[in-house]
Amino acid sequence: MNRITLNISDYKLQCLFPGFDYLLKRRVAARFAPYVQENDSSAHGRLSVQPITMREHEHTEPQLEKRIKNWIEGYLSKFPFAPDPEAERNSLFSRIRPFLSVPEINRHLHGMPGDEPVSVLTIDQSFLVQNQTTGDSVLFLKSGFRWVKPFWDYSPISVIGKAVYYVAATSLPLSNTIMLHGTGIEREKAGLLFLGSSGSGKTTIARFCREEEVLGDDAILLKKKDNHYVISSCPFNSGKSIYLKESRLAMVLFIEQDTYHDLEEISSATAGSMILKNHIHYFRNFSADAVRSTFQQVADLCRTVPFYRLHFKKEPSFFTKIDQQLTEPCACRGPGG
Amino acid sequence: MPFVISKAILFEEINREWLVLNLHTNVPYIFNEMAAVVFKMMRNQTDSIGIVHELCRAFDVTSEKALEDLRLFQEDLFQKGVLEMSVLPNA
Repeated sequence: MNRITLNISDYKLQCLFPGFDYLLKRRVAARFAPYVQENDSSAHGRLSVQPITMREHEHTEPQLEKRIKNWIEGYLSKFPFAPDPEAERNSLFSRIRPFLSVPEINRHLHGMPGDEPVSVLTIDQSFLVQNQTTGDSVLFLKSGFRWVKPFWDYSPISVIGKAVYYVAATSLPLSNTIMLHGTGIEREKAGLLFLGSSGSGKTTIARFCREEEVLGDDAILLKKKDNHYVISSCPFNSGKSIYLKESRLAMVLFIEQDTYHDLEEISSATAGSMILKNHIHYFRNFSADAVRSTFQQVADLCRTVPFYRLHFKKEPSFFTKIDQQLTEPCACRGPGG
Repeated sequence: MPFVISKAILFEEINREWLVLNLHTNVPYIFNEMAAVVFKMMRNQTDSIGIVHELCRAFDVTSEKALEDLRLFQEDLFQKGVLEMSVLPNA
């Protein structure tokens, strides 16, 4: 068995590859280069990659279907305002169902006790099963071994990358780290965290900065060290963030593209609510323990750093507003300030 | 109506407001300062009569007004899963 260990903010994820593709381990190691820890067999969680072959019209056991339907119900309860839950339910089940009859997946799910909390995810025609008690996951990679394949076939590295992303996002909270959907910048030794939904301008903000200032343009890790918070890079960003960097967090900014620049302070509880609602990757897939840990950490963060709503035009002059705020005394609150 | 705070609720006080999270839905809520005052009393298992009495004393409102507002507040929290029906007859 080939294996590599990824160290993501002190959370060690061991990735195990069967010998079906001799180059796979090397390519995954290259994809996550700065995070690979050589000769380290200790791990907080494991991600095993198993090749599968899909066959049509295979029988699915009603017992397994029932278990997955229960899981879907639990998952959908996290979307109480969904406009059409029935359509969601059907869509989810139709995506998952073909995998249930695959012998390897069938055996794996049968091997887990019925009351063991699991989460499942379909990724580009592959299937991920996570045991939420042990933190171990198995990625069932569709047609994992093909020496000759059509040119339009999916990339296994991309699927494995997404699986690592999911496992890290849902497991890191148990190591007191949160993965946030945002852009992290270090400016004059002050860490700035910009939070916004897709299309809100996170990448634009990163583009206004020098490469060495950017910690990440889409996913940022947040962790408490001593009595202050640090933001750090993680391996799930585009080009500018492949380096391992961290910076002491000075402020959090919720971004809104506008026709003017303005910085408006917002209440800590409101900020906490916005983070929990919109800016934590896969928050609805978290185990109860991970939700508790995340909640405590977000509440603590809210007592520690100031939060602002940043209205900005697509030009870098908005940094003047931030710089002014950073130079004011007591930019940070509480013991970390 | 006898309500108790659900066990599936996480809450933290932050600068006089409260951040609340329903573990069943992972939906967060914020209680403003006024709601926080009432929620604190509910946490201390003060019954509705005690809460109304305290609201009248502290905020100079009539007991009818306070009782009606408390009822609406509790119903709203019940809808959001923050409160659940008490199984104890006199809770």
